[in-house]
Amino acid sequence: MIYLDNAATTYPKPQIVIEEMSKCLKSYCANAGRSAHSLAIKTAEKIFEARQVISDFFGADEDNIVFTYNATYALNMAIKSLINDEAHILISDIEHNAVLRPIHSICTKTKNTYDIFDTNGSDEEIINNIKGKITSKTSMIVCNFVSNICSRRLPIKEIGEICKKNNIIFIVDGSQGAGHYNINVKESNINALCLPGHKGLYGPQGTGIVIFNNVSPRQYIEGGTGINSLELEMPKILPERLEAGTLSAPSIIGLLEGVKWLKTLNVDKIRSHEEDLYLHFKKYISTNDNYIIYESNFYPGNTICFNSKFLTSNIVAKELNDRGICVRSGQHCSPLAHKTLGTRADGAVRISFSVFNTRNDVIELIEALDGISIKHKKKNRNLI
Amino acid sequence: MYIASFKTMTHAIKGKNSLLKNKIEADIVKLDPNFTDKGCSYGVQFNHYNLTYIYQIFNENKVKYVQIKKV
Repeated sequence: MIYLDNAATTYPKPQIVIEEMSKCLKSYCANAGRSAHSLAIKTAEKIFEARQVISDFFGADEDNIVFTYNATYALNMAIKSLINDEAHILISDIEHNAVLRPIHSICTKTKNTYDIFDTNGSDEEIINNIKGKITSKTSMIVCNFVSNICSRRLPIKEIGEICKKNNIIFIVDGSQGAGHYNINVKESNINALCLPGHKGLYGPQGTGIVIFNNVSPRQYIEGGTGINSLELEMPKILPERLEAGTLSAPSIIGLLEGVKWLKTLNVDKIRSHEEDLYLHFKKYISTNDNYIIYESNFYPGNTICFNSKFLTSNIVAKELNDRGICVRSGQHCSPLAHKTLGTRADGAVRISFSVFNTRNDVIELIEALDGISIKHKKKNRNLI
Repeated sequence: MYIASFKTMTHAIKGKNSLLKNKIEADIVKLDPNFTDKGCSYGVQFNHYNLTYIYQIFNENKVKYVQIKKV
């Protein structure tokens, strides 16, 4: 199969990730921080190594690396542990439901309010849009770095500067940016960077991270921490303050190896490779009368969405699957982003590349789409 | 022999690593519940004559210890 659904989760994983996870499960996978025998200490030390490597990769302090189960959990934790009462929140118009839903839920149940800023335009226009929406009560901005349905990306460094000047907490959903672009939380004034371990960081599913910077998150979860058990309250310091229960050691060790592997490859080279594939495919799809795309003026990236003029996105995805190509169709858990891009009620077909994809994958995709058009065009159903 | 106690496992490991980096042998140990009066806890066991130097190492490496006791 040709796998082009890397925005959902990267596949395959690097061999070293699989090997080290397997080694952990076979040789030492004890419960970190609960016992003092050699296997538990070794497991705890590997998890600590993961914090060190990840903090170095993102320009953060190792104490501020909090492990979660995915980016959605990370975003919920960051938003709900940092939000103020009666706050005004800004989000972008291309957010995933992992941002939109918790914000919407908070604002329907409390006196908090939120507004959406426009991301269509240059970086300067986006910044002006944000500035235009900031009020005296604005205390949080939550936005993604890169969209999960197209290559649109936001000027997070400049947004971070605005937040710092205005004493606004800045939370970034780095789900689609991490591993494709260099992100430094301190340089970009990001207060909480929320990441999945299983996408651009090439770790396994079941891993996520919140990287805090210059903030003191409130308690979010309570439970066993393996230390100071007689105290009724959770530890006051990170990361254990926000981690309760057993961590998934083999998953975190897989994530550690994924990040180490990325560092050997170099993020800039990965991005360059993916952009080459993106541009190659975009050249075809943007000039093919049977298809429409929704992102003519964006930066190149690794994700692109389009539709057939004659078939629903689900049918195109199924036809591609029948031809050995994996893609995702529909709303991609981002109805707000789809509405902003102006796709259809059935969403769109999304292609997302990884470092493992090749030019040949793009050639086969193009041939498959040509075949699908020829097969179905005679039905002459225009769905635009 | 001394034991430094810590509030979290993360800082116990940081403590151990910072001592090892300075060529001081150190091991993580589980402490008796009455060591800190807070229940289960972890410490780092080491043997070094100069506690001032140990405090300096911990401070330079931002290791948050609770106390250091002779055992």
